[in-house]
Amino acid sequence: MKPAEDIEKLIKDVDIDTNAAADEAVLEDALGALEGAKKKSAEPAPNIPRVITRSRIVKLAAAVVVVVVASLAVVSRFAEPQAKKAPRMDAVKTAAEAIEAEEQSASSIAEPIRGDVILRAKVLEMKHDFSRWEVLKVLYGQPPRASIIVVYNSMMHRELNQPGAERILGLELEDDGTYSPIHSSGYDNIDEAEAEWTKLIEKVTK
Amino acid sequence: MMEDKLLIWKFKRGSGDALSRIYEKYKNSLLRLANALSNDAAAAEDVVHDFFVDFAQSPEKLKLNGNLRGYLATCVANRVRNRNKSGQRQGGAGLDEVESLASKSKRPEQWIIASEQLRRVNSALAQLPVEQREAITLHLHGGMKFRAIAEWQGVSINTVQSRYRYGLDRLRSLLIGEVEK
Repeated sequence: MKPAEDIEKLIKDVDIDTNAAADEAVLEDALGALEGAKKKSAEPAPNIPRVITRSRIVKLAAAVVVVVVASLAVVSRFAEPQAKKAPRMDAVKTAAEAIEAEEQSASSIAEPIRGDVILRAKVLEMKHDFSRWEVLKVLYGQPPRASIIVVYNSMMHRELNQPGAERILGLELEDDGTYSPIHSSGYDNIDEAEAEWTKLIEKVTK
Repeated sequence: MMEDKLLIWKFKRGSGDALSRIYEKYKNSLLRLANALSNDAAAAEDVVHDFFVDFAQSPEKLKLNGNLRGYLATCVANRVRNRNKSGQRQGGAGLDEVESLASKSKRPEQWIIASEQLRRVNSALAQLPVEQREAITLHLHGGMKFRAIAEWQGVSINTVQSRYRYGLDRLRSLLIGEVEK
């Protein structure tokens, strides 16, 4: 064996003994910390709509960091003649642009996250978003009759992915070309929410 | 290696048994590593104790797919390094004077039962420059590859290998010289 290997072996083989009582105490502390962590992670998450309505900044961010998704009633609308579909598409586009202008004019909004921009881009390009279609089915239990412009931020989007989620705010474009708000049963202050959305509807439809 | 992967998987799902097994499997090598790096048994005990408590507090955050032993060794070595720096910042307070979780524990005072051989090796290691000591202990006690040590020390792999080689030469003369006296 080479001298270097001798030294390596000597260091590697240095034995270490530990006090059994201390061993147990340390393990007990570690297991206690693990239990604490498990309890902490089991605590319920805060009610997001409540957080949104309580904080003005979050509320603004929720209202203004918008994603506009237009989902036509897929089966029927796909079959719709292009000439009949065009005005509806224009209305959706106008709404999307108006909401985007609203977003840009607000000073205290959070930066839109990547997903928001992608979804909005889909709307502006008039591409159907099939994941959105599933959300609409959750809301209505059946495919919507009219075109829907739904405005929500990423936080709400996560909410919508939960089973039985109903919280959403949006604008519904009816067949006669008018818009009506979609309310959320989970929203704490519906008056305040409605006032905000009435303003938005005015902006979109004027 | 497969056992470690299974242990990580179970631990990330909050298994106390997996944590106990990791503890039993690696506590001695981590104590030996911390002791060799700090040359202070009390500080080594505190570092390893604190590490296991912190480690257990956030199992879901553990992002590790590879070498568990190397990961644990790196964490402990970082803590020893931080305590050394913290001790220097506090006007040269000793390692054992830095407040830690361990000081609030009911742990009996002495955890490491140091053998004569352990004292002898650690005292020789303590005479090496810190970088050489780290290269030797992380490789031999922590089971870390030279590449991983190089990343940890922020130097090239050749530098680490040189530090290791020079360190071993120096240790040999220290330990053999001691025997010959």
